[in-house]
This record gives sequence, C-alpha cells and structure tokens, in this order.
Amino acid sequence: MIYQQLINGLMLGASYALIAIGYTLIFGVLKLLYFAHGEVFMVGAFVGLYLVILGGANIYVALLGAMIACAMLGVIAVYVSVRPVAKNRPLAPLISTIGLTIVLQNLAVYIFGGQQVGFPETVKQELYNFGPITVSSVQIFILAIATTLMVVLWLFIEHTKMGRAIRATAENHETAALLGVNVNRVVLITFMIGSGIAGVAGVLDGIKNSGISPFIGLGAAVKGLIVMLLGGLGNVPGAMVAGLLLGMIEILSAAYIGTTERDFFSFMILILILLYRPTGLFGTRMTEER
Amino acid sequence: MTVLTIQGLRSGYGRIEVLHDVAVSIERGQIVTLIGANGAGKTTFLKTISGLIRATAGTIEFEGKSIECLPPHKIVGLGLSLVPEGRAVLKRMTVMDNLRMGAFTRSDPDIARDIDAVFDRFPVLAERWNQLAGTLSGGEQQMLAIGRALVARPSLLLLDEPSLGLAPKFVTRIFQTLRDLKSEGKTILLVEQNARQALQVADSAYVLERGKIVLSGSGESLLNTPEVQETYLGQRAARSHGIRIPTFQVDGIA
Ligand SMILES: Nc1ncnc2c1ncn2[C@@H]1O[C@H](COP(=O)(O)OP(=O)(O)O)[C@@H](O)[C@H]1O
Ligand SMILES: [Mg+2]
Repeated sequence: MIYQQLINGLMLGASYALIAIGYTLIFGVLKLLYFAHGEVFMVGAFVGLYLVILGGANIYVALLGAMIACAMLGVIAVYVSVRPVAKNRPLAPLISTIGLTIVLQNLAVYIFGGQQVGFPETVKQELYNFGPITVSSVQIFILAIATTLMVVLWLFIEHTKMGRAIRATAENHETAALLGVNVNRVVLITFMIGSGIAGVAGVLDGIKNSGISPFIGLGAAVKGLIVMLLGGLGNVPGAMVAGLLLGMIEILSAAYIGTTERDFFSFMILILILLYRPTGLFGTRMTEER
Repeated sequence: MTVLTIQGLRSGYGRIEVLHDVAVSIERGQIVTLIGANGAGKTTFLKTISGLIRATAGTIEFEGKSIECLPPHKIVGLGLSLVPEGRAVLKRMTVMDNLRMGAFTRSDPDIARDIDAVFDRFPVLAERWNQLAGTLSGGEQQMLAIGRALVARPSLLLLDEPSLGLAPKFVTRIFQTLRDLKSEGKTILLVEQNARQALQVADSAYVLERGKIVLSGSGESLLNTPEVQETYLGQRAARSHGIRIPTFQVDGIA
C-alpha cells in the first residue's frame, strides 16, 4: 500500500518538478517571480490536445509541438512583459507578468471555451503488476518522459557552454557580460527552456487527468511556486527533488489523512518553509552580495 | 603601435558625470597604470571602456575600431578583458568552470591548453580545480580572476585594483604576475590605489583626481614627482622642506 502511494506521489511530483524547474531557472537569471508560468503550462496542455484531436498527432509529436509552442510563448512573454518594463523597479515585471497571466487565461477561455475538455487516450492504458504494486502504462510513460527531460536538462546546465552561461548569468549579469555572454540572449533562452518544459508538463497533466481547462494554470503555478521555494530559489536540482517530495507528501497525506486536506498540507509546507527555512531545503542559488 | 586610444571621454551615472574629458593611450606591450584615490573614478573609467557604462561623450578606439557604442560582450569578443574590482569570480561555479567561462568567446581547439597554462602559472588553482570558487581565499580568487581573463587571450587586459584587500604575500605575487605577463608581451592597463608598486611596474602612468587626469608620464618619473610622492606614496619628507602639502580630497566617502 505504502509503495503504491509512493509511486503515485512520484508521478504527481514529476509534473510539479517540471513546472518548478521553469520557475527556478527564470528566477535564477532574472530574480523575477514569473507569474505567467502556470498559464504557459495550460497553453501547453491545449496545444498538445489540439495536435492530437485536430492534427491526429501521436503523443510524441504532441509533446514536441507543445514544447516548441510554449518555448515561443516564452519568447513572446519576454518581449511583451519583461523587456519593456523598467529594470530598476523590481515589482514592475511581477505586475506585468500577472497581466500576461490574465490575458493568456482569457484568451484560452475565448478560444477553447471555459469548460473542461476531455483528453483522448494517447498512451495505451495497460496495467502492470509488480507484486503488490500496480503501475499503469500511462504512469510509466509520464515518469519516463519527466525523468528524461530532467536528466537532459541537468546535463545541459552542468556540461554545456550555454549551460555554464546560464549559471554565470544567474550568478551575476555584469560578470557574465564581461566574459562575453550576451545576457539578453541567455535570458531569452532560459525563458524558452523553462516554458518548453512547462508545455510538456501541461500535456503530461492532460494525459494523466484525461481532461484540461483554461483554469488549470493557477493550481499549477501555486504548486510550482511552493516547489521552487522548497527546493531553494534558483536551485534547479533542488526543484527536481522538491517536486518529487511534494508530490509524495500530498499523495501520502491524501491517502492516510484525507483527500480534502491535500492542498492544506502543501500550503502548510509553504508557510513552514517561509518561516523556518526561507532558503529552501537545499539552499538558494541567489547571489549573496549586491 | 597604439592598442587603445581614449579621447575626450565623459561618463558617469545618470546625470552625475564622474569622468570629465579623460584622454589616455596605451602602446602594445606596455603596462600602463592609472592611479588615484578612492572615488576618483577609476572603476567608472574601466567600466566605461568595457561597455558596462555608456560614455556620454568622447571616443574609445581599440585596435583601430570604435568601441564606445558596443555592448560588453562584443567588446570582450574583440580581445579586451576586464578583471573587475573585488575579484568577481563566479563563486557558485567550480574553478574549472570559471576558467571555461573565460573561454566563452572562443571556439578553437586550444582552450584546454590555455587552461593548463593558467594551472601552470597558478598551481594552487590546479589543486583546487573542482572546488567552488567561493571557497577559495581572497588571493586565490584574484589569481582565478586573472587566469580566467587570460583564457580569453585578450590583446588588452584591464585590471581593477587587483591587490586590494590581499595579504602582502599575495600582493607581491600579483605584481610578479604582472611583470611576467609583460615579459610575455601582454598589454595591461592597471588601476591601483597601491601607487608605489603600480608605478614601479608601469611603463607609463596617469594620475586621476576627481574624474580628471591631472598628471601623466613614465612610471619612474611619476615616482619622483613631489606631488605624487606627497599624495600617493605617503612621503611626508616634503613637510620638513617647508613645502605645503595639498589637502587631499577623498570623494565618495561621506
Ligand atoms: N553606481 C553608481 N551610481 C552613482 N554613483 C556612483 C556609482 N558608482 C560610483 N559612483 C560614484 O562615482 C565616483 C567614482 O567612483 P569609482 O569609479 O568607483 O571610483 P574609484 O574606483 O576610483 O574608487 C564616486 O564619487 C562614486 O560615489
Ligand atoms: Mg574602484
């Protein structure tokens, strides 16, 4: 029973982690709480859905399409809600990205309608028994995609030239620029990566819940934020681990305490971190000086 | 051959002008030093050359190209590297990653060799290659910052007070490194408050006071200039000769 719940928690946590990665990457390079990220997730889910329904695409094409569409949305977000806003007023981009959130959500309602839309079966539903644990093919698929993405991202950030440039930019824009990094370009690429991953998370969420609506962004945004804080601001591996952790905590609390208290526990955790460990479980990657 | 020619340079922050009509030129293979007290505008000068601050007037010509309108990353790409004040190493990255970042503008196959050359120059960095730069001592961080700039293979290296806040043995080490670099043919613009040692290594020197160049000449001639001795070298001998010592204004300190 407990193992079964842990597997379920891992599943839930994987999508939390994917959302939080974008938050924390973007927070890392811009020190900006990017509010519209949950809506990017929602748009990703719809792009995936429509590729499957209208385009007859298979799930891999849908994932790739959502990823590319959301990466482009990330670029648009930078141009409309980050660059035009005064840099020396820290609250300004926060407000402008809240504005983007409202615009995206209303656009989605306008285009897709306000009701829940069913997600067709794209991954053949099969159940596998490993002793007492039952795992579905959908669960395995989601976990495999999420894990692959996280490993690839980690390798990219740790071991490529652009990954190093992102880390350098996150630490100090001036220092990065003095080493030849085009900081604006790195910020753009970071938004593309974070948004693309959120798009994939949206499609995976659609598959898992077999339905999506224009209002799934807010919940995703809140969970992503909690995970980012839990993992430490700007800390990418921290977000990965914290995402899985939060997923497990939620599932376990739902299983053993009650389903209605699931979100209650998330928010309790948020409050506890803010009170007792504002740097997160694994330390923040914020620059101490300046 | 002149590597850098600066004329009529004005620069500052917002409406506050810090540099007023500054002119400096640097010949290939030389160490040129700019000395001045805290708040004189030395850092502002280097930041303006590197493109971090936009000049409001004047020209900066680097190897025949005007660079006063270029963003910093383009200027680095042309071969002008700044080692910023306060050892701006990337503290959360390893020593090795810092050095690799130094080669960010390059894409040739010799990067690894140049990183090895930094390790030869500063063996302590080789021992700590996999440590986070933030765990290094101040002197080691300064070596890393210099090494990282060298990996970019700059044709002009700018250094902002590399000896500031370092233990004497590291100060000696840094100045020795500058001599080594000169003998290897590198061109260096050194900004210092440590005027004596800076003037000793410099081929030519400028004195910056409140945003203006007030004196210039060979390093040796400035070492022997009474005004410089009184104000920057702390020689009070002048007093016994009955010469008035000018009161020195320290800007930037409230
Ligand atoms: N970011 C800034 N904004 C406004 N004024 C500044 C800034 N940085 C430095 N200054 C002012 O510019 C003057 C020169 O500073 P700086 O170039 O740092 O001098 P130095 O490097 O010679 O000590 C000082 O009066 C300082 O107060
Ligand atoms: Mg300074």
